[in-house]
Amino acid sequence: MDNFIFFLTSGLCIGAVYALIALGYTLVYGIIKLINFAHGEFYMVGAYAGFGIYLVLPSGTPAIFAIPLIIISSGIAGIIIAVLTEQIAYKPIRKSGRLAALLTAIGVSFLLQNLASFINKANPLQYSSDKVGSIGEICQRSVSIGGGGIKIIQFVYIPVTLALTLILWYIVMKTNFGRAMRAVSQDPDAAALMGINIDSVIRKTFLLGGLMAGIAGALIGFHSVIEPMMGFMPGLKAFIAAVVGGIGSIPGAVLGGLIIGIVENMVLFCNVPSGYKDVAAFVVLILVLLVRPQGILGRNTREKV
Amino acid sequence: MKHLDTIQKEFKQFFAEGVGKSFGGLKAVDNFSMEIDTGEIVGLIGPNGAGKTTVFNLITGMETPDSGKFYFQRDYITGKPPHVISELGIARTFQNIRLLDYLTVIDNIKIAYHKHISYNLAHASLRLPKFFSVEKEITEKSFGFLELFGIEDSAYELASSLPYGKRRKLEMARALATEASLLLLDEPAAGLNPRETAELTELIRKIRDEFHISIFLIEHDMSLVMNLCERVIVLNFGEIIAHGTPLEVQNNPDVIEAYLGTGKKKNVS
Repeated sequence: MDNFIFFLTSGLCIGAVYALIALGYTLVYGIIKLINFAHGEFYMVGAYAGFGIYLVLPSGTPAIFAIPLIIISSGIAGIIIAVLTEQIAYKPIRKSGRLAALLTAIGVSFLLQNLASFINKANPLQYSSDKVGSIGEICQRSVSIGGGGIKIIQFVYIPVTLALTLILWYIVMKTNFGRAMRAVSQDPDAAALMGINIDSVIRKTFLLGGLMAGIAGALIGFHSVIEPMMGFMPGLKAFIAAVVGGIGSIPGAVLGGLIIGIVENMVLFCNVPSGYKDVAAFVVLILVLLVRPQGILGRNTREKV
Repeated sequence: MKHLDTIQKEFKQFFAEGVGKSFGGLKAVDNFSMEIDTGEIVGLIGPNGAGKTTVFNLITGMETPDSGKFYFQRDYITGKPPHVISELGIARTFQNIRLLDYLTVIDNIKIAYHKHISYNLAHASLRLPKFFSVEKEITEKSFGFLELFGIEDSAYELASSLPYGKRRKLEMARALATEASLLLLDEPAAGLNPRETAELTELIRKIRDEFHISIFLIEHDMSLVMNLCERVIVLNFGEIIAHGTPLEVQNNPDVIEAYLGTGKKKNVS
């Protein structure tokens, strides 16, 4: 039973990161109905950017400054890569149909992965933990909860996700820009005729999604290895999380992320070999799609003809 | 050259010159020219498929014309994107009402203020006073428009939950809230009973007088067109076949032919 607490906590922490990535999927899908398969790569770029900042920081920088700085820089890197991708790859083909956009997204994903391995020669990077008090060492510290060790840094994930989700929810539901976003997602033509600049709304939506993916990358980078393919699996799982929660729904993305994180760890709790861990997310996806195809919190919309 | 054109057209609020648009082999609109003066109410009528809605789509920038030019308040607006045309002051409603169904009624109106709002995301996320003062101001203004149309009681309901008549009114309120000076109404009386149509006629006249705007409307309900419009343009197969006061148009043989046929062809009914 002790183990249960450990796996639950661990699941919540990783679920919070899935939730952050899933929010980006859900926002972009809500606005332009594009499943942005390059989103996992925004996360990877964020992790690399954070590590880059870590390398330039003087070695004695206290972690209390360094960690927020790395998180913010990763967020900015996420914004830059997301907005560039939208402007260069998606905007020119916006009127060419959803299949073209989807294939472009997959192409961008491969491009960014290979660009990252070209630049870094595919060497996995990790925050160095050899010196006591260095960022890496602090990130590797763990506490024992329910019979297993959980890295202290992982406890940061939940409040960060919570804070970003609340800000995002506030922007979407309460502000003028959020109103414009909701209008564009429902009827882009009518929104344009009300004076809303659709291009600008789409750009800002990618900005928000990129910000959150970049920050998620920084968080995972703290205690895990950073490598060019790191965005693939979390990206896929976050996509599943967004679909499970109901794609287009902000609370749904968070709920889906937490569910996927927890289920994944519960599988380990049940002594299933850890190689099967990744299967859990897909099983959840299939079950949800069978029972409630619009997702747990999704709105039941019929396709209009 | 463009500059010269602009000067020539500055006497009228809105001007269309030789506008044409084809879809595949079909000429939807051909050599369409007209003008609207400030404060005028002009009707656009014609049989189904005559190209009336296409004219609206072309004016508002939803479609780009193949040929011809539009001027609005001294600006050359042909080929500009819809949001720019909306900012310049042209708003429209749709034949098949296009509200933002999952937004509340009041939010549907607030959308129209989007372009005028001067706070940014930083103001909003930090909850600075400017954000609240601007939001309060647009809420008050939006209520003003709802009251004008008598639908303020439904302000916080979802737009999708409104009955048909109120949906029509909300769409007009939203178009008006963009602070447009030319309002395009696509079949505003469709689906209304004669009493409601009479009310609507009064309402449109009131809007024109109170806001000093011009109105260009498509309508099949002849009682509304004849009561309200000062000039009527008749379109058939994309071409203007008649143009004049309601009375002149009513008695024009070409118009009667377009609507009823010549009687020479064999009529299967």
